[in-house]
Amino acid sequence: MKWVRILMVVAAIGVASAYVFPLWTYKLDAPQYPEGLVMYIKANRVAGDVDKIDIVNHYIGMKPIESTQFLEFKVFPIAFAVFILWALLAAWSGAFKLVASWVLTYTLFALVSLVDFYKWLYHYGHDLDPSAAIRIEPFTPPLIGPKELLNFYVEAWPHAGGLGLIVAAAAGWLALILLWRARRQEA
Amino acid sequence: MRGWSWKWGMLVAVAALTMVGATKVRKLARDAAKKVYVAPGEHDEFYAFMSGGFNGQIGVHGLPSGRLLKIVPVFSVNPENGYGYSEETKPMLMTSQGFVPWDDTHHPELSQTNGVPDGRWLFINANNTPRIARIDLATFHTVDIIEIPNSGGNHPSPFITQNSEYVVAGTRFSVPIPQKDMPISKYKGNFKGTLTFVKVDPQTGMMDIGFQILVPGFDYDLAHCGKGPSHGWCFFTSYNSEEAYSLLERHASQKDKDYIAAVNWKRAEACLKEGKGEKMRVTYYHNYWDEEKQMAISEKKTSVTILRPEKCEGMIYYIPTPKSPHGVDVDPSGEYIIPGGKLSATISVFSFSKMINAIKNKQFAGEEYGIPVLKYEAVLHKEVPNLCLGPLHNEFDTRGNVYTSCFISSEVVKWRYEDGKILDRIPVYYSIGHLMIPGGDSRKPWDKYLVALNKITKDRYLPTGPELAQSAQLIDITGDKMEMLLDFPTMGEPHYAQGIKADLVTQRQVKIYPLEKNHHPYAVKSQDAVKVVRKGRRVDVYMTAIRTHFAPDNIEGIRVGDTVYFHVTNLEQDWDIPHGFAVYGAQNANILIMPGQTLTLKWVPKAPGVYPFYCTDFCSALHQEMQGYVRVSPRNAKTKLYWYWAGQEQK
Repeated sequence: MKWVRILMVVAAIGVASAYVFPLWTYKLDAPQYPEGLVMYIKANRVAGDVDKIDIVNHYIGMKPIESTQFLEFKVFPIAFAVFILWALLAAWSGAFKLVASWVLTYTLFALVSLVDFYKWLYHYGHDLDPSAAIRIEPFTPPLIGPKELLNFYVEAWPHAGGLGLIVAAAAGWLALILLWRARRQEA
Repeated sequence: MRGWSWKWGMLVAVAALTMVGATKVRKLARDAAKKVYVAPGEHDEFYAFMSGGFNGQIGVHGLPSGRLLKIVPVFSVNPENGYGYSEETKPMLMTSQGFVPWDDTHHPELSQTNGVPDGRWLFINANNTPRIARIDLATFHTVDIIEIPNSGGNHPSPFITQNSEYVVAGTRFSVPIPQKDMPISKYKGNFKGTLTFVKVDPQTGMMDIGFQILVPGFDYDLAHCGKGPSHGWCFFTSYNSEEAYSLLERHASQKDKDYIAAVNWKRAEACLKEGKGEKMRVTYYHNYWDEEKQMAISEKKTSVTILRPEKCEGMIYYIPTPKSPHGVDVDPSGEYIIPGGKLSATISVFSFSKMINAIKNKQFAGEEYGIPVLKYEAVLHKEVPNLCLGPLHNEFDTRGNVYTSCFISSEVVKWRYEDGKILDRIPVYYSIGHLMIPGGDSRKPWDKYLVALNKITKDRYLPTGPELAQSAQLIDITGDKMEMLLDFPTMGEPHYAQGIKADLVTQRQVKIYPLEKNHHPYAVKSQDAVKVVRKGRRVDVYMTAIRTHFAPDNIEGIRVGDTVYFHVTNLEQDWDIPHGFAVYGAQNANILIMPGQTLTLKWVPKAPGVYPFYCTDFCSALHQEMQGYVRVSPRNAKTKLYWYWAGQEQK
């Protein structure tokens, strides 16, 4: 039971790290950018060389990446707060129902977010201005891993905040498994 | 037959020897090539700043490659980027004589901290219309120009004190002070010189004239300031102590000795504090770059403080120095003062501590217009005979050696100034003027390379007609023998140069101007804010540039007789994305606008028509599309003023 409490606190800390560190990072390399361009997706906004990336993207008619147009950036901070409090409550009470409901809701939230993220990527790569100077085949920027796009070599990876969210999920599942085992032994 | 074989044998022997020799030469060339090779994408180890002489600019080279990195416009207008043409930069070149678009730069000097170049600023003199400029090495832009009044040509300048307290100026051509209409033949005793100390603000670098010392009407030629024990003193060479005013090549070369003026500027400061200075009314300009507004401000000044030697005892002494000395250099320890006695076969090394003793013991040989002349022997450390012909300048290494440039014998001589022993000599092509070791006039020379700045080029490069580039040569000075490594051309006529370890400059580099800090009164920071405003016959175009269009790019309603000001803000915030702006028929230049900057080009259309403007700097794949039109209607036309871009009419 002690482990379950510790794991749920770890889960809460994991989620909390998403307030401090970016969730996801995009690295772009091109011959003209030896120093590379970086874009960070944070809990409440995009950051880094967004302006420079927008200028590059405008040649192919991609829409500018504006933090204000994402509802997600309003929802995430609230959702994270709820998950942190919920995880701490579960750690405090150690109740199976609280832990189980946290794990399932959190996992569902994570899956929905990833799908949503992918849809945005698809949207950016496909909803290109038809009057743009350079017309290219629609594409989807990578969700994770490397990809070549014209003169750019792009890599997408979770950043510390994203890793924190993954750790939180792992801790939650481990806690749930431990609890489940304990209940089976009792039974 | 026997005779034949003997001859053949000789031929083979000669051929073999020639091949051995050629192989050796090739090996030497290969070794030298390795030493100056900077691989693609790699950086040079040193910056070298070469004065541009009559081009009024500074050439920035990398060492050891010799590659030209940039020409910094200083006193000369530069149509390449609009310096001196844009409304923002025009005030930089204002003087008491009006707008002077050119000058003759001789001596770059790096700012110093504790006697070591610190990579903050570079100063340079204007010899023709006396001025000193300051270049900010974070941007490589000229940011400050001060005119030197009471001077007829600013040659011994802008040598610096150990902590950049002052840069000095002196008048090469003595003149009536204050200026007036008088016969030239009344030169003697009536023409005067000035030695000027220009204060440098320790934080901002901003220059201001501290004081001017009124001195006899000799020709003040070069200078260097003391360091370490001699900090607080500056030394100026002078020739023409004969006070000739015609055919100087003969009449100013009569005496065996001229003078080094040794100036105790700390004593001068004390005299100023005691109220011994006098105000003189004289007009001069101070022009400086306002970083926030991104434009030059021109200020007219009307007074300087003059110090007279007779009113400030102990401020200035003359040291007799062999015949018409040119340079005067102080060794890294600050103890030895070595002039270049250009018409003398003997070089003299003076001792600072001996000079102080001579002053204390009043070992005077006489006086010139009330200035005590020290006894030559009392100040002399050593005489070095037969060094070379025409010694001009000295630079130092950290091992007690001095390198002297010899114009007439066209060589560099390495010798020890402690005991006067000559160690090595190397020919240079042709007729060297100055020489430069990075930090070689400071307390801490980076003594790896020496650059010979030669005055005559002739056959060193592919010929380019009668007018040739100047010839610089890179010499390795790390070994016992000097080794010639490389020839490279320089632009204008480099006189002196300065060198510095590159990282001291690179660490302060500015890449862009942040838009949020741009407080130019005509800046527009978004394409939605662009506009065109008419005030009578003046039209201001508030324009933006970003890859790859101008906003607005169509302007109508301009009339013949209007003066149009294009204020172009570059909205880019990425390194090395400048945009250029040029408009048909402009009688000034194009402007090259750095990211985040606003620059203004004045345009006065002459006849009705539709005139294109375009970006001159290849900025992106769609650079050729970065263009627009201005419609100009007849003087009395009723064409409405309007503008648009992106096909959307704004008004």
